[in-house]
Parts: sequence; C-alpha cells; structure tokens
Amino acid sequence: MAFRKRTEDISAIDEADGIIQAQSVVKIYDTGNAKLHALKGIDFAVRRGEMVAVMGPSGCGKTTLLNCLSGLDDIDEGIIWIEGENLATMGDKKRTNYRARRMGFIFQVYNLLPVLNAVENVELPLLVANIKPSEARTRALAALETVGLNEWAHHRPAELSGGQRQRVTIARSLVNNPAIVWADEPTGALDSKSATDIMNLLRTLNEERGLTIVLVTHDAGVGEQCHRIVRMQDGSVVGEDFPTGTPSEIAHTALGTRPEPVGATA
Amino acid sequence: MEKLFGVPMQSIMVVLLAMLAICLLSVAFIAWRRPVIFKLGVRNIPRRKPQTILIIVGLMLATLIISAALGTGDTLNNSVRSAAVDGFGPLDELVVFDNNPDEDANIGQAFLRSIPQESIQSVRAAADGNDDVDGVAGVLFSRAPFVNVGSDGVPDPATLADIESLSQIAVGTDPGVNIAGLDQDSIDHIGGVDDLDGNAVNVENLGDTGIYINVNAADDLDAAVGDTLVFFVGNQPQTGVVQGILPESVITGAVSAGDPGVLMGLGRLQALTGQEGRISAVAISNRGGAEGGLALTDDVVDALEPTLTGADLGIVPIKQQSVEAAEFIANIFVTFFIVFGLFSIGVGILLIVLIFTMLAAERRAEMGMERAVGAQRRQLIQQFLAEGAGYTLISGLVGTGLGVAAAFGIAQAFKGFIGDAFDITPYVSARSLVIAYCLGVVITFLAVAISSWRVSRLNIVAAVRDIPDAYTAQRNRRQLVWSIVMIVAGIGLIALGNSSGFLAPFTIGVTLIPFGIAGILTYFGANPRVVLTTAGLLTLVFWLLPDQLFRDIFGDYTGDIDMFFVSGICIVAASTLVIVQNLDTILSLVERLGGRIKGVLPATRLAVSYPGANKGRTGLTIAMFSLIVFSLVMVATINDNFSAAFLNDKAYAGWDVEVEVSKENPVDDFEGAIASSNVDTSGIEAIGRVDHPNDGGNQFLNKDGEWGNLIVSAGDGTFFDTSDLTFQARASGYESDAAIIEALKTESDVMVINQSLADGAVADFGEPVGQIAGTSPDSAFDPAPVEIRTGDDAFHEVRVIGVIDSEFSMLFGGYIGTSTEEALFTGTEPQAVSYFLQTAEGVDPDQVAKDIEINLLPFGAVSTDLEQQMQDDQATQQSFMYVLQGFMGLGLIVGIAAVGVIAFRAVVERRQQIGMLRALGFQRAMVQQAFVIESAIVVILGVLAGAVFGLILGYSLMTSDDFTEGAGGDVAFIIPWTTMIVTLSLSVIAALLMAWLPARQASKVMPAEALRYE
Repeated sequence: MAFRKRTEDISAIDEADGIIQAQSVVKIYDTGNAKLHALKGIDFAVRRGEMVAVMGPSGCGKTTLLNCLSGLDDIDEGIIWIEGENLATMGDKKRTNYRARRMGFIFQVYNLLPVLNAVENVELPLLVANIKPSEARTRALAALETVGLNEWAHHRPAELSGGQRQRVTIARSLVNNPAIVWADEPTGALDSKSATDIMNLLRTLNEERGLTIVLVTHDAGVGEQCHRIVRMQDGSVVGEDFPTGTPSEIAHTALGTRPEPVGATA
Repeated sequence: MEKLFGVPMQSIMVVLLAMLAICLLSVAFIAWRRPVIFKLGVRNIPRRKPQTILIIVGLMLATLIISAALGTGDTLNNSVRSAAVDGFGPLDELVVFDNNPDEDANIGQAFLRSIPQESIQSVRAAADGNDDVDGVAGVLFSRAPFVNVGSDGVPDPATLADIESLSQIAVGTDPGVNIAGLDQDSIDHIGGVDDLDGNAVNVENLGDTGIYINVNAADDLDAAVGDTLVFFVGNQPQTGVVQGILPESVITGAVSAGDPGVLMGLGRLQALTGQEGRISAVAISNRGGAEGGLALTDDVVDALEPTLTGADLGIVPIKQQSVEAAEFIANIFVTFFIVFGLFSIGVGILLIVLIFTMLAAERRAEMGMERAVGAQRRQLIQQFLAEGAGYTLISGLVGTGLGVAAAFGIAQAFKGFIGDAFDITPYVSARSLVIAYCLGVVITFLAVAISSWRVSRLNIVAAVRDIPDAYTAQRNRRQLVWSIVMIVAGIGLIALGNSSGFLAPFTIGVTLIPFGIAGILTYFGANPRVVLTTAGLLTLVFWLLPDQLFRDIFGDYTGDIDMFFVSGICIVAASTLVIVQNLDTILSLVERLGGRIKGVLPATRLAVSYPGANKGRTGLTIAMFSLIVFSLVMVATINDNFSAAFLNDKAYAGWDVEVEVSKENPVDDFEGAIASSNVDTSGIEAIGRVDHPNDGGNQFLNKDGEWGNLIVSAGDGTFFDTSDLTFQARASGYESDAAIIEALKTESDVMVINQSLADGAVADFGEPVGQIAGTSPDSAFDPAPVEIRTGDDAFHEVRVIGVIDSEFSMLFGGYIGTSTEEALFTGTEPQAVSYFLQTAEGVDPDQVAKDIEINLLPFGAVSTDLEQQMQDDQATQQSFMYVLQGFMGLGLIVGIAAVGVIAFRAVVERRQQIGMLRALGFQRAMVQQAFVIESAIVVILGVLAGAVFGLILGYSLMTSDDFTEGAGGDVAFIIPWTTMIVTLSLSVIAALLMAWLPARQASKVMPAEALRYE
C-alpha cells in the first residue's frame, strides 16, 4: 500500500491518524520567459483532526502548497497521498469527486457565486454530490445556522458584509461533512473582530467535529490558534512551531496525539 | 446603381464620407489632445486576442450585410444593364411609325407598322451635320420557325414539304427565331459587325441562301457554320446556309436578351415577307460606342424629333429605356435586400451595444478608479471611442471584403434561376464599397459612442467596489422625463399617421404610448414587472390584431415594404420586454425541469441564475435572436402561402397546354391542323382561343391621365366558358361571375382586367403603374370607362366590368371577348394567337405540348406545358426566396457570434468562479453543461419568441381580407415547418456550440489556475 512507503521523515504520522502525506513535492510555474520554482521538494504531513497553519512571507509558496495538496493544481515532482490515496493516480474526475465528498474550501475572497443567495451557495456541493434537493436545502440551512447566518439565508453575497460572506463560505465548506477543510487566508479580507469570530468558529468546528483544517495565513494571531504552524520561505518548509499555552495544545490533548516535527527541511 | 430609396448614390457617398471624416477627426483629436486616454483605449485592442477577433467579427457584420446588399444591386444592375447595352450594341435610338405628335413614340409599332425604306434617307438627312450621330441603319424584323438539318446540304423539296420527314433529319429546332434584315450600307453606317471569328459581316456576299445566326440561335439549333437551316415564312419552307455566327445584338435578331436570331440581307427578307420597300425601324447609332453613346441620347432625341414628327415618324430612346429598366429591376432587388437586411443590421447594432456594454462591465472597476483619480466622464467616452475606432476601422474593412464575397455568392445563386435571361456577372462598384465601408463604420461608431456614453455614467463607489449601481433620484427623474417624451412623441406620430394616412408613424406612435405610461407609473411606485408586462402585452395585442379588426378599430392606413421592419422591431421589443420582466418565473420552471433530471440540477441551478442576474444582457441576446428568427419565419410564411395561393392549378385558369402561333405563319384552322397531323387529339377535352391583337402596340389612358402600355387578350367563348373565371370585384349591373362572362361573349365594349390594373392595387415599388380610375380591386364599382389607343392609332372607349381574381395569376392585362375584339381591331389580323388546351385526366400535357410543337413546326407553334411552366415559376420564386433567406441568415451569424461573444466574456468574467466550482466538486462536464444550458435558455427563448410572433403576424397577414380576396378566398394557412425546423435547429445548435467551445476550454484549466485569475 502506497501509504506505507513514506519516508522516515514523515513516518511519525502513521496510517491510523495521518490524512495528508506529501513527499518531495516540486511545483514549477513556466511563464514562458522563465521558470519559477514555487515548491522545491516539500515534505509535509497532517494528522486527522489536526489544525495546521502554513505561514510565511508573500510569494513563499503557501497558497501553491495548499492548491497542490488539495488537488486543485498538478505537481511536477513528488507524491501526495490524501487519506491513503495517491492524488497523481486519481485522475481529474475521481479527484473532483473526492473534493466534492471529502473536502471543503474557504478562500480569502470568499468566491461565492454572486447570482445565488446564501443558502443556494451553501447547498451547491450537496447538489453536486447528488443529494436530494430537499435534503440539501435542510442541510444547507443547518450549516448556515451553525455559522449563525440562518436569518441571512436568502440574501445574495452583495447584500452581506465581509464577515458574513466568509461565514457563508465556511458553511459551504462544512455542509458535505468533509474530512479536510482547506482555508486560504480565511481572515485576510476581514477586520480584526470578524477575523477573531471566524477563527473561533473554525477552532470550534475543529474541536467539536474533529475536522482536519489546513489554513494559509499571514496573521500570526491566526497561526497561534492552530495546533501547528508550518513556516515556509522561498518554496521550502523552513520550520515548525507548536504554539504553547494555546488552544492547540488543548486540541492535541483531546486528540490524544502529539504531532512530531515533520517535513522540515534544512 | 444610381439611386437607393430614391436618393442619388453619389449624394449618399458624399454625406457618408463627410460623416466618416467627422468620426476619424474625433479620434484624431483624442490622439492629439489626450494621448494618454487614446493609448489607454487602444492598448486594450491587443490585450485579449481571441476576444478582439470575436469583437471584430461581431462589428463587421453590419458592414458585411450592407456591402452584400449593395454588391448584389451592382451585380444585377450591371448584368441587366450590360444585357441592354450589349444587346443594342452601337444602336441607341429607333425611329418607328408614329402619327401622334402629342405622345411619345411606342416601340411596339416597330413590330406592327412598317415604314418606307426611304425613311432611312429621311433620318440621315435629319441627322446630317449632327456630330452626336455617327450612323443610321434601316432594319426589317420578322420571325420564323427554324430547323437545322445539318451540313449535308439542302434537303429535297419532298422532305421540305413533309414535317415528318423533316423531323427525321432535324439536328435542332426552334419554333420562334427572330430575323433581322439589313443591307450592307446600313451595316457599314453603324460601324460594321464582326462574327465570332473576327471576320467582317458582308450581307452582299450571302447570295440567295446565305444567312448569319447569332450565338443564341446557334445554341438552340445546335448549328455551326456550313449547316443548312430550314425555316418557314408564310407557311412556305425556305433554306439558309450558315455563313457565320454573330454576337447577340438587336441587329443580329436578339430583340430581347437571349433571343435566338438570324441576320440576312434586307432585300431577301423583304422579298420573303412580301414587304418590298418597307422596313420596321431606322436604328441610330450615337457617337462614342455602345456605352458612350448613351449619354448623348437626350441630345439626339431632342435634335431629331421635330424633323421626324412631320414624316409620321417618332424616335424611341430604346437603349436608354432598357438601361433605366435595368436600374429599376436592380433597385427592386436591392430594396428587398436592404429592407430585409435591416433586420440583420439591427441585430448587428444590438451586438455592438452588447459588446461594448460587456467591455464596460469588465472594466467597471478600472473605470471607477479612473473616475476616482480625476478622469472626466467624457474622457471615459474618449477612451472607449479610441478603442472602438480601432475595432471599427478594421472590422469595416473585413466586413466590406466579406460582403463582396457574399455578393459574389448571391450572384452565383442568381445565375441558377435567372441566368437564362441575363448573363449574371458579379460586379461591385468602388462607390458601393465606399458607401458600405463608410456606413458600416459610421453605424458602428455611433453605436460605440452611445454605449460609451451610457457606461460612462457609472457610480464611482459602486464601480470600485464592484457592486450594483443604486437607483438615484436623478436617475428616476431621467426616467420620468423619457417617459413623458415617449408619450409626446407617440401622440405626435399618431397625428402624423392620421394626417398622412401612413401606417408606420401611426403604429410606432401607438407602440410608444403604453411604454411611456408604464415609465410614469413605475416612477410613482407601481410594480415595474406588472406595468411593463402589461405595456408589452398591450403592444403585442395591438400589433397582432387581425387585419379586419384593426381596420374596424383604427381605420385604413397605407403600409409599404418598410412595415416588415417596423413591425419586427416593435413586436420583438415588446415580446422581449415581457420575457425579461417575467424571466424569474420562466427560469424557475426551467430549474424545476432540470431538477427532474438526475445530475443536471447543479448545472441548471447555475445556468438559470446568470440570465436572471444580467437581465440587460439576456434581453439583448433574446432580442437579437427574436428579431432575426421573426424575419426569417415571416419571409418563409409569406413565401409558402404566396406560392400556394398564386402558383396553384388556377394560375393558368385550369388550362394544361398553351400553343402560341405568330402571324408570320398563321394557322387558319387549328383544330383541323392538329387533327390532320400525328397529334393524338383524343386526350384533348377543350380548346380555347385567345388572340393577341396589335401585341405590344396597344395603350390605355391610366388614372393619372398618361398613356400606358396595355396587354389586350381577346378570348373566344370556349376560353371564357372553360376557364371558369371568377372575379374579386364586379361592376354594378354585373352581379355574378356568369353575368360578366356572358357580357364578355356578347357585348362589344367590355373588358375585364387583372388586379394590378385596378385602381388602388398594390403599388409596384413606388414606380407609377398603370391603373384604371374607377375600378375597385376588391368590391363593387360602377363600370369604369377607359380610353384605349390601339396599334393602328384608333381611339376607343371600353367599360371595365370586372377584376379577375388574383388566383388566376398568369392572366395579365385586359381580357375582352370576340365582340369587343371585332369592334376594336376591325380588319386586323392578331399579332399572335394562343390556343389553350385542356387535357383529359391521365394525359401527359408535356407529351401533348411536344407533339403539337413538332407537328406544327412549319407554323412556328410554341407549345408550353403550363403545369411544368408553373412549377418552373414556383422554382424561380423559391430560389429567389432561398437566396433572400440565405442573405437574411447572415443575421443568424450575428446572433451566433453574439452567443460566442457572451460565452467568451462570461467564461473570462467567471474564471475564478469556475475555479471555485471545480474546487467544490463540479466535474468539467458540469461546467460545460452549465454554460450550454444557460445559452440554450437564452437562445431558445429568443428563437421561440421570434418564431411564434413571426408566425402569428404571418397568419394575420396571410388570412387578411386583402390577401384572401386577392387569392380568391378560402386560403388554408401554411406553416413553413421545413424552413423553421431546419433553420432554427441549425441556429440553436450553432449557438450552443459557440457557447460550449469557450466553456470547454475554461473547464480544462486547473482549478488553482482559474482561482488565481484576475
């Protein structure tokens, strides 16, 4: 089984609790005139139920890493396993199906469809997964209630504030009960109050539902609320932090795990 | 082409050049005074190449359509004009018998009344010293049946005398070949004639049997130099040996384009026809060759006319008249093409507005930023104008070029069905190219300017934040002002319509008022959906009212061909408004439908969301498809119903075969002649005789007090009894069709006419038509007296007592009975006689026609299978309509291009959203489905609206009293299913393909890449 072929560096996360495994991931952007090495052989692993922040300066490859790990982008070298499956062997259709059933996404710019109202946006992943429309609507409303937006269910994105839009995005990412939620700068476009609310919400979901969350952020405050912070620079992982005295420790305690430093390259 | 819609083309070109210069100077001004703004605009052109190509394709279509329409006009004009100019060769005027100095000479006299051969000298004397005249020739015309017996020499007399023997050795036959007789002196006078091999014609060397034939006769008879031709004059066989083949021209016998002809010495033709010392006409050649002499015609006519009048001669500017007729024919076609092309041009303009509205939407944030940092509104307009000018100038060139290609294609199609009459040669004049280019560029430029002005009025904050513009009090006030303007304009137009009696201003006025009222009600808080839907529905009801109900309510108005376009615009505008106002309901139905199909709901949900969110864009696209489909369905409906009504069994009054015999070889006893020949007469049930007295030489005083040519046909009792004629209007005193028929057989001063001669008949494209005052085309009238000048210059008065149903569409002119014929044409032999045959069931009319033609060859009998003739007529009309529909189909290309532009823009606009959808689990196919379903909704709504309303209006027209009475009543409405299904399916498929291609491309992009897109 491919999962057993992990290198020693990431072997600390075994099949039972590992959900994301990446090895020697290389991503090159060919702009025609030049080749940009966005990811330079990254090893990375995340345990099931873990909340990991990827941090680093602009252009260091954080979003690229998230895109590659989630299967939104192809990689040039290396291997990525998600829940034990090699992404490279999945093919576009299977990978898309997998995203529909097992993943949720939160983007900095919300990426809600402006022509649909909040509940229609939220139920979209369920309709894609062939859930009955009536059931999809019930679950979408429930998801909106979870994020405190049930009263705004029939408003279009243009009629919502930034924080509300991001809550809709979170509701959408949760509605299909995903195994992993990927969040790219989820608080980047929000004021500090809204950002705190959103992070509290994510943390609660992680704690209560055991969601695995991988988020990319610039905000140290956001990173501090995660179990683990992976630091990147210039396309490489340059280190990890385990915030102490933070809710992450509590989370790890709850999980009964203590992640080892993994994927760090010199 | 010299005129378009009555305006000289030269003037149109000068005005358009001036407008183009203003457009270009505006852009030059921007480039000079606002170089930064200019660069900002122009740099957008190469920014997204595929989009630029689509825009250029979209913008060029208006130019293409104009260019194609003008090119078609040029081609037809040039071809018909060439036929006229080449046919007359060096001859510009004909001098004919004319003893009425008060009226213009009538060309028909050349074939009715000969003049003394000395007239040649008289004309030469009159032209002596006139530098504008360089030749005068005398010509005698006749006509005879010809048989080519090949190159084995002259047959023996027994063979010549026996038609069966002659038939056995015949290589080719033609029952009606014109013969022109000229002496060498005349030929030399007009500059000589060369045969196709370049040898000079010399009739003095022809001897007793030599003849020349023209190319048409060579084709018809399959004849070559050295072949012997047998022909019959005065029922006596004659022979001629072909000495050379000549080009087509009047002096080689081609009196009309395409006529087969023979040239022989004047003396021989005079002797054969017993007209020694007589000629038909004196031909005059002006200085300057075939084309150059034309300009001198008026001077020559003015100079010679006074001298000739005293000698019972008149001068006819025959080449000039033919050229003017060519212009007229070309103008009819161009009017058709331009009017129906207006639909496509209208669609093209909508597309231009759509393109620039979408470009503005794309750059809304940029424009908001520019406004925020101090750019004036006019600078935004200037920026768009600079960009638009770039697209426009290029697309104008491309469109003009492709228009020429389309005109050439149309010319090829024309060749297929009128190529027998004229040699269709594709030709587009430089002036037409300039006009098409200027008009296309100016239209596009104006559309860009208006679109730019609209988009420049953005709200800066809303634009920067990319949120919808809020309604402001100022904007509401503007709406109120516009609504009031619409009502005032509507009332003004209604008044104009009432005073002028024209339908267009009246109907446009009535259409504007409900929308004006709706605008005011909305301003005061009424539900826009309710009031605008009501206004739209009221407008549709008004436009689609049955004809009689419309007349009962609003009275009678005069409409012209332009009403097609006016009705199309108003109906489509109203229907689109109703659809857009109720789009949410329609879309929710579609969504419910999509929800029933497993796996399609997510794509359907997306597909129905975007059209509803962009109602302006959706409405424009629906309007584009509606407009073009409306026009196509209307034309197809009219065509099919017209064909069914007028080209049916009654067109030839139920007769199956027509046999026409000319006076040169009269048949004294037709029934006896065919009975004694090998024709099987057992299948012939009835034979009616129609004389054509003084054919081409009769005139009547029309309702404007002018003499117009009148075709008079005189039927015998059998003809009228068997034809079973019906009349759409009867004079008082003749209360039934039978009473009219009886009067025609017994009274000596009565005539019935076809509909186009009736007072108030549909005008023939604005040209003065001969109509008889006092006759009503569709109701009872008092017997209308009409003065007739017969070919012998005698004046008579007859009474019109009936108007023949238009269903008998092949009966032209006036019909009289034998009593009236004897009174009008006492002692004159008819110019030609037609024998109409009715055949028994199961008998092949074509075989009967062929048998009679071959057996009566010595009489030059021309037989026609009328059913076949009718089918040919139908085919010709269908072909023309297909060409017209093909031309109008260019509008569909505009619509399809519009879908392409919209889909391409939508894909660009939604790139990030596509990335997000793919991230959420949308498969590639689902993304494509969403785009295709979205386009399908819009396209199908447009197509359905256009087809339904086109059909309803077509039904209203085709079942109106005007049409049904014209067609003889009891007309079953025909829906043009074939055209509709083929055209509409193809257009929907093509449009969906245009939507699918960019969607497919976009769905292939990796989600991460799409999400990065800005």
